[in-house]
Amino acid sequence: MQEQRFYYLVHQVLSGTATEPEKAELQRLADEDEELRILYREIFPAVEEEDDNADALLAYTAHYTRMQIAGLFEETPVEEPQSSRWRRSSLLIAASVLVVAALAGWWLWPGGSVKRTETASREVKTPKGSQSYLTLPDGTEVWLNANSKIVYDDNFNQSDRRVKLTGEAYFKVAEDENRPFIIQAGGLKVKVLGTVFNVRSYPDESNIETTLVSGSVAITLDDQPGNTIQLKPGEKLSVHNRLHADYIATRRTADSLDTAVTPLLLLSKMRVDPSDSTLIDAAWKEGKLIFDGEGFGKVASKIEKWYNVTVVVENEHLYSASFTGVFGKKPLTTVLSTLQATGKLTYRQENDTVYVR
Amino acid sequence: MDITLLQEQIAISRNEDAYKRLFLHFYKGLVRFADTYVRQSEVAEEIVSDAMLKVWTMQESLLGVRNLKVYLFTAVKNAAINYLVKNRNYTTWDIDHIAPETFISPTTPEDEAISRELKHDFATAVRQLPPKCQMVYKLVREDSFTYKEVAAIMDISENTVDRHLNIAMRRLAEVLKTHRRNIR
Repeated sequence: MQEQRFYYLVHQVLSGTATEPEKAELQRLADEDEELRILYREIFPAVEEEDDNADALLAYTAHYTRMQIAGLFEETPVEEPQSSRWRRSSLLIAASVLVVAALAGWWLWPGGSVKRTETASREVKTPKGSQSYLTLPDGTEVWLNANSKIVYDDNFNQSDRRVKLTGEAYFKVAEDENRPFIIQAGGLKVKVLGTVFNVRSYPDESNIETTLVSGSVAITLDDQPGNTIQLKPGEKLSVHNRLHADYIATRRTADSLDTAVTPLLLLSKMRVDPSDSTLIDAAWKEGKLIFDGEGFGKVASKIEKWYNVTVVVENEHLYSASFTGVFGKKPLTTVLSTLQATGKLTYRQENDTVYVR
Repeated sequence: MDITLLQEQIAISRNEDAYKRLFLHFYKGLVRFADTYVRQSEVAEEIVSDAMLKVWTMQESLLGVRNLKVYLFTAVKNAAINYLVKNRNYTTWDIDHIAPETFISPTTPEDEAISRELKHDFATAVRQLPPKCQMVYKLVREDSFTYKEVAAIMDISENTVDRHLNIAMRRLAEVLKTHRRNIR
């Protein structure tokens, strides 16, 4: 009646009441009978191999990044709301205002304008309400969305290819394994070899988003150069910008796990519009204005840039409503009246200002 | 691994290394557990990351958690259910009918055809168990929980845990018996 004994011992082990001799006996029974051994392995799967820990380590890197961005692993007091990267980027903007205009010949769209600064850097800027397309000296194609700016030095394309981005751009990077293409946007760097992707980094929006279409990119955050996040095609990384402030607001010690906390660093799959399989994150480049289940805050921000208007939200509750829709080159009134037709809001327009409630 | 010690190091000395060890210790089991509910690994990973983040931000109140393992699994379970409630696309749906889909299967290269068959039969038998019974079996088996811990997480009595496990054992015993009868 070895089997009866076997089941008894299994029960003892599972219930946590087995003694050491009983454990040894169970092991011995399993060793002696091939079929019992198979059953034993079914009930007590072997301890996972070492390399299985690689996943956990990888996950920890991402988690660590998230904790750092949230300011949780720093000694600096969380009350300091302005991170240094903001001061740096505002300096950058100030510097490029001192501009000596000298138009280079290679810009293509009337929306774009090229300037030459005293620091021998070039910048292309699009005003609100327009987009532009340009080719960089290395052959990289860039679609620049409304209210965006790209800056690069004269020594671009020598040892590496560095650009600074404010706003949103879609990149089709010319392949050159010897000269990495590096984009500095907000507090992060995106490093690529040859690839197609979209970066959205407006100072007035809370997220920096990188969406990879093909190839591969590595993203590092300025405050922790050691940690690199590698994107696979079809993935999108959003980095939340207003970390400190948001974090304090949502900090709680209640026992229930709070899932409503804004994700600080979120890796997600890129969304594709099923009607014509365009990438939702890059649809702006085809002249499409898309809201993809977005809160009104982001909807308003997109409308402001797309149509060069100011949106004044007079009803706080709107921020919790989300909107989904696709508009191909439609006038502002079409977009607004469609949003109104959802019944969630009403609007009125006075010159360049739209009031929504 | 002395979890209570890690808890103290995290809560009082804010020891990042202790936190890392804790994370690595629980990560896989928690993700697997969350995944049995949400069935999307990205979501499961995010839920676990949220739970682990919370452990750090609890500061001294972390010391008040008596069994951190149970605490984490319960937190992950609650978050997973919240996620399902928020994102469900179907009309009816019963939390008691969630059964783990993936079990770790023991693999050994030298397996012969006969043991492969038997293994397959065991796995099938487990899959045919009632959902809650499967969940209990999985927790005890893969995450080495005690009855008491499983009872706390699943919100059932220890007797029920025992009953579920007995059902599982009986099913496995039957499979073995049938198998032995067939070869002879």
